[in-house]
Amino acid sequence: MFLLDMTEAGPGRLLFEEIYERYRGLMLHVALGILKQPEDAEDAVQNAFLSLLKISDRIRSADSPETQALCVITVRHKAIDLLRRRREYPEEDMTLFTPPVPGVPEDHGLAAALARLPDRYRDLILLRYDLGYSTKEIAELTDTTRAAVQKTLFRARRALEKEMEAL
Amino acid sequence: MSSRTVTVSSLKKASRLVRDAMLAVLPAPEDCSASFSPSFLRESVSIMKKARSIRRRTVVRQGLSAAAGFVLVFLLLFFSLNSTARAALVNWVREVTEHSALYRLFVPERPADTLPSCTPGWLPEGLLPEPQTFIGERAAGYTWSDASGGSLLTLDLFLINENTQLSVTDTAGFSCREVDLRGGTADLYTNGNQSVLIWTEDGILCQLAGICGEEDLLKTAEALVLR
Repeated sequence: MFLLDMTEAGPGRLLFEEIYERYRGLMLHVALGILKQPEDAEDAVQNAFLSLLKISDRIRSADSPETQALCVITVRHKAIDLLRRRREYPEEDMTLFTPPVPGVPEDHGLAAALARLPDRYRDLILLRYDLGYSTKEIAELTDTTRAAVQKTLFRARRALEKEMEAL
Repeated sequence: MSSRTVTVSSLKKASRLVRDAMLAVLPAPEDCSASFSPSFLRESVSIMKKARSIRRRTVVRQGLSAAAGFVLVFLLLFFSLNSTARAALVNWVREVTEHSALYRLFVPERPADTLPSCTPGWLPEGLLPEPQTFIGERAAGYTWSDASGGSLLTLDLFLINENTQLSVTDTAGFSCREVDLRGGTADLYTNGNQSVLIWTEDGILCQLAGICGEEDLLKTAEALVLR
């Protein structure tokens, strides 16, 4: 309920403000790792917050791992978008530069395969299946269409199945 | 491993593991004390303004949704508990529907020299239509009775014209008064045990009689659908 949200945010302070204060440093760190230029990284962070605003009513708390993951994934997406706009990476290149996520238990085949997916696929799967966002919300976050999200999710699952067969 | 093992639930579990691993390699949010440019901070003010505006809209929207929900629940309770209100609502909906251009387009008007068919919109509790409803060329009769078969309500319809002489006889022991009914007036005869309503409507003389209270008789008459 909306009253509960306002209590969580503290009197006179928005939940979104708390998220902004808490994660902007981390988000800049992530964006800098991709873009290298501080000005570009700041742009990516601002773009990420503008996209997060669109689904801000779905965010329930500021300091949960889910919110942290949402902020990281969103800013990474925006940073990679900036890189793509500079034509440094072609649109169809899904490998990019993000290394596989380390520290995933190898005995969990599906998680290991997911950790090795290209980040664009992996991020969409995390948004959809871990954080529980609808394809419409993901489309708002990533400034794309719902159909494009559905198509990328389909491809991501196919890539995941291939990755599992390779394991 | 087979691709068939990729189910939504296994994907959720794997996604959570990957998310935890992804966050574990990043510094904690409180350890990332970055300094931002003045233009970034200026832009931040604008973003926060947008956030407050969205928040206000969300609160208003949720408030309106909650109010609409309460109203809906109240109306549902009201109409489920109050049969008079339910009958009035059904009548109102029927009148609105019957006066719509679309209804007139698809449902032809009844010719002046034919009797309408009758459907009760509301009946006193326990009453059911009798199978031996009589429908003739110039008169029709409907009976509704309870499970024991005792006749409790009867409706008689007669085609009339400008030459028809109306007179009510055998009214000894009955008191009579005029009541508002179906947008016009009707005569209500009652002797305390039995009540009779007589009115005319669209060239039809209607007589509704019953061993029931005046209120039930009036409610039944109001809810009759004659078309």
